[in-house]
Parts: sequence; structure tokens; C-alpha cells
Amino acid sequence: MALRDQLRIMVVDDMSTSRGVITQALDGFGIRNVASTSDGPSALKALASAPVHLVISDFNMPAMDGLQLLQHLRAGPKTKGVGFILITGKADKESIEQGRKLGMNNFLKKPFDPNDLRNCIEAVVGRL
Amino acid sequence: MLNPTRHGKDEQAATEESAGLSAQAFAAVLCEQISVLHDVSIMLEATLAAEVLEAEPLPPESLRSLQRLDFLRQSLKDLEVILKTVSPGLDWKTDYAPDEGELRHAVSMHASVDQIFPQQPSRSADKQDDPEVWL
Repeated sequence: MALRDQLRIMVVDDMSTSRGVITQALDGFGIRNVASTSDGPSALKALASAPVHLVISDFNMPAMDGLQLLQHLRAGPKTKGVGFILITGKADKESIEQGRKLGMNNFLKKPFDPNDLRNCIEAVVGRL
Repeated sequence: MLNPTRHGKDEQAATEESAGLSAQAFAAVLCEQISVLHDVSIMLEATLAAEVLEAEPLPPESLRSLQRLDFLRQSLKDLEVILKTVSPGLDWKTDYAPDEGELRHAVSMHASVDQIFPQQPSRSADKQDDPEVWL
């Protein structure tokens, strides 16, 4: 069984267009087990009952930004080992460095295309 | 052909009008203009998303454009909110009033300034209510 058949991913983004872009791209890679939420608190709630292998989260979100979500994930016994990719429009050195310190596995700068996303995911989980 | 006399009268009228324009009113007009642009960006994003996300395979450059539109829409919304938030504290510096002639010279579309300064009869024929026309 290919990795893409087993992989469970959660997409967290407050913008429906961005969620659509990512989930459609994942579908194009053959990844079918994809959940999505529009904010960090909802993601944490969902992950508590349905864990995933990888979280792909936007940075700029109201209430809880991507790095705060990462911090919560790393603090949770059930979610501390989950892969985490941050999607960001800025990708400034400071944010990336902070993300690395918090345990971010990779990041992707907007705007990206499906190939960029695939490479970013494969760098974390291996060949799809 | 320019009419120096007419132009001088226009400038005088503009100065008289702008002297009464508060910074808050100016900010409110800018907010309204940004709001219109935000609405336009929503329409563009929805249209592009409907086509792009149905495509198989996903067209890479269109996907990038969709994300740029997403950024544009969010930025416009944020600008509107920021301007609305700070506008109660805005005021012109002493002896300053926006100059209509200067603004009209600076912008690409006179319609952008029409909302800031009340329409004069001589320009009413140029008024364009439909933003699509400008695009």
C-alpha cells in the first residue's frame, strides 16, 4: 500500500479558497484521507478524537495563528509527534526561526503550486 | 485646449470645498472605496476559484493567481478595518486641507476623487456609478 493511501492530513485555514486549493491538490496526489477546519481551536478539538499524521496550517488566522496552533500541538501528549507544515505569505526569517524552535517540520510560501506542495509534504513524510 | 480662467475658478472652488472636509470624512470615503474594491476582489476570487478548482489537473499558474487574489482580498479588508479603527483619531495638521486639483492630477481615474469632493455640475456628465466600467 502506498504512503498516500495511509496518510491522514488535516488542513487548517480560515479562508475557504485556500482550503480548496490545498485539498484539491492533495486529492490530485491521491491522498483521500483529508480533513479540514477553519481555525486552530476547531483543529485541536478534531485532532483529539481523530488524529492525523500531518497538519498543514495557514499562519495568519484569527483567534489562534499557525504557530500558536503548533505550540498547542507540541504540548499535547496525543499530538506532539504530528507532522506540521506552515503555509505563510511572509516567510520572514523571524517567523520561520520561531517555527523551527517550536518544532515545525517544513513551511511553504504563498503563492505555491501543487508541485511545491508535493515537494514540501514529501520532505516531511517521504515519497508519496 | 485648456482654459486658464476656468481652471482657476475650479481650483478656487476646490479649495473652498476641501477646507470643510474633515479628516474623518476623508477616511470614511477611503473606507468606502476600499470596501468596493474588496467586493470586487470577492467576485473575482469566487469566479476564478469555481473554474480553477474544477480543473483536472490543477493549473499551476492559475492556482498561484488565486492565492494572490486571496491575499489581495484579505489585505483590502484589513486596510478597511485599520482605517476605520484609527479614523476617530485622525485630523489634518494645522492649516492643511486636501487640495482637489492636486489629488485629481495624482490619480489615474478622476472617479476615485469624485467621492472625496462633491460633484460639480461641469463634471456630472463624466460620473460613472458602475465600478465595472472603470475596470
